[in-house]
Amino acid sequence: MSRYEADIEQALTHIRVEGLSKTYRGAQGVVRALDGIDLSIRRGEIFGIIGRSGAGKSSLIRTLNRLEQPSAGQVRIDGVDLGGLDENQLVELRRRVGMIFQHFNLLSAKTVWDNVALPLKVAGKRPAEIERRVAELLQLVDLADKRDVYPAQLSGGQKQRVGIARALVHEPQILLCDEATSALDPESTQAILALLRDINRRLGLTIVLITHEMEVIHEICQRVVVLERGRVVEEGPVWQVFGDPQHEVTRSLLGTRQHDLPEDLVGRIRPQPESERSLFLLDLHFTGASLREPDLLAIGRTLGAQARLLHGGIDRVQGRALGHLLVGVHSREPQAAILERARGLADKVGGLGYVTAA
Amino acid sequence: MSLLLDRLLQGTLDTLLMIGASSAITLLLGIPLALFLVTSTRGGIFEARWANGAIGSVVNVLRSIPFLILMVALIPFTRLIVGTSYGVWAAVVPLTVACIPFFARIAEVSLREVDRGLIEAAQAMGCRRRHIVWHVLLPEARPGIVAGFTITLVSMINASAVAGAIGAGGLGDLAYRYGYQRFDTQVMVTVIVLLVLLVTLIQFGGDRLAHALNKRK
Repeated sequence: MSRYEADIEQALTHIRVEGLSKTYRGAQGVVRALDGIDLSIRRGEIFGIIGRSGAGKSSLIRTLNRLEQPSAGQVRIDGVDLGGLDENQLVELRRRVGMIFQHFNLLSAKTVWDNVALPLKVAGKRPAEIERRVAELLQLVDLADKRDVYPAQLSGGQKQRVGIARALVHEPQILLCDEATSALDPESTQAILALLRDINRRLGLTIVLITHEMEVIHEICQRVVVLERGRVVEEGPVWQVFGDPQHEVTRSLLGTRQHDLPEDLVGRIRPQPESERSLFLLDLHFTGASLREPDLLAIGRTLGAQARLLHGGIDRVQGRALGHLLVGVHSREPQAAILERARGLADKVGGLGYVTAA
Repeated sequence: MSLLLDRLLQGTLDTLLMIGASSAITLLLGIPLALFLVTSTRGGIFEARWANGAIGSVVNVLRSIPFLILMVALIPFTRLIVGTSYGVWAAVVPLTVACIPFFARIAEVSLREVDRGLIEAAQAMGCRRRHIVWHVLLPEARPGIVAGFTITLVSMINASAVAGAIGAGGLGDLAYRYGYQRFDTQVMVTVIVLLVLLVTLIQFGGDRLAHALNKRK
């Protein structure tokens, strides 16, 4: 990286995490929840942190507003090291960093209005300002008619919208989302994600979210890191991680989004053709790297009239076509020749072997 | 007959006065004590484990002494505070000393049950520790504290009758002198009816209030 690029990177960076570790003294000795994490989160982006349960996601996001004290390493927001803040500065910082939670964490004894007003009240704002700001936010999350209702009477999606209003009431620059949609039904999840995307665009907020659902990352994130046992095992733009996952954990989290080989084919694959009627299986992998889209005409022309689409699918992520197409080619040519011809059809082309048509 | 009525009226007023004064002090001192017990434990927002252990032990000791014995043992202390060991005000001292730890433990349970996530959310929104106590712990535990205070009031009525036996006045005193020492069943039954009425009223009121304060439904 040149000096110039380094300067740009620095200017873009909103949150910088360096060598972050967290160890707990548990019942079975010392547990490493976070183990040397390095991250750069850019201003105004939606940054996803995904991992299986116990990977350290919760600990990581909590170090960003110091609900969790790291054992080693640094978290810097706008260049300021959180480790050096005293209690007053920490309170100030937390008012600039909103947070929403999986179980909403609304105060049951307070109305919607009082829940949203609380952060301003404890900051000693004037009643008139509180009134104006809370009304504004309830408008934003579309709950103006619920201001005098208690949280118990709201649906999950509505509760999370109250949570969002409360988190945004101090006009923070960062919003942390701790599994914010994991307790919601699919419809509410979509609505909350849409709201977060909207907030990100309209207010230019940096959003950091943790989740175990790839769908969430797919819906709204621009960049993602995959966490496993307290370490970053994969990171990059979302299209890249989805298009060409490198780590086994990433693949398992992608789950059904991956168009794995169907069972009936797997059992029948042979390294050599068994008969005249055997098909050569060609895997056309679109990783998104080249921005190319599957060209059906080119596939047909290159592979001949006997090319059959057996399996696969293409997803669009961040405007890029990603996925695998599994094409059966009927040809007596050697594998190498077919692969050579097909090379330009996708970002990655591979031969899987032969199957004999049933 | 009118003398008896007078005595019953006086007894009821004395009991109400005793309960009223003792419960007010219990509420005033019991809640801070409960807050201290909850917030000073390991991982609490005002962690002070040594002090927590010490105060916790004192509470346990006071809780384990039977009221009658506590009352007698406290006589010098009572004299020191109210100047006498006889009458309504003298009963307020042991009643308070016995009920504060009792109530504090019940209130402690309600406070402890406040979801940790709420405290975390409060910290994340920039609440200081006193804000957490005032805006999170107390309001969220309020229905449980009210229910606990009702229980405390009822056992306080119980104890006040015992206090009556050593000359504190009130309904207990009346029942003891007429019912036990003079075998006057009529007075005894009247006192019992009054006590049942009082307890029922308090329990009913407490339940209603706790229900109204519970917004979790």
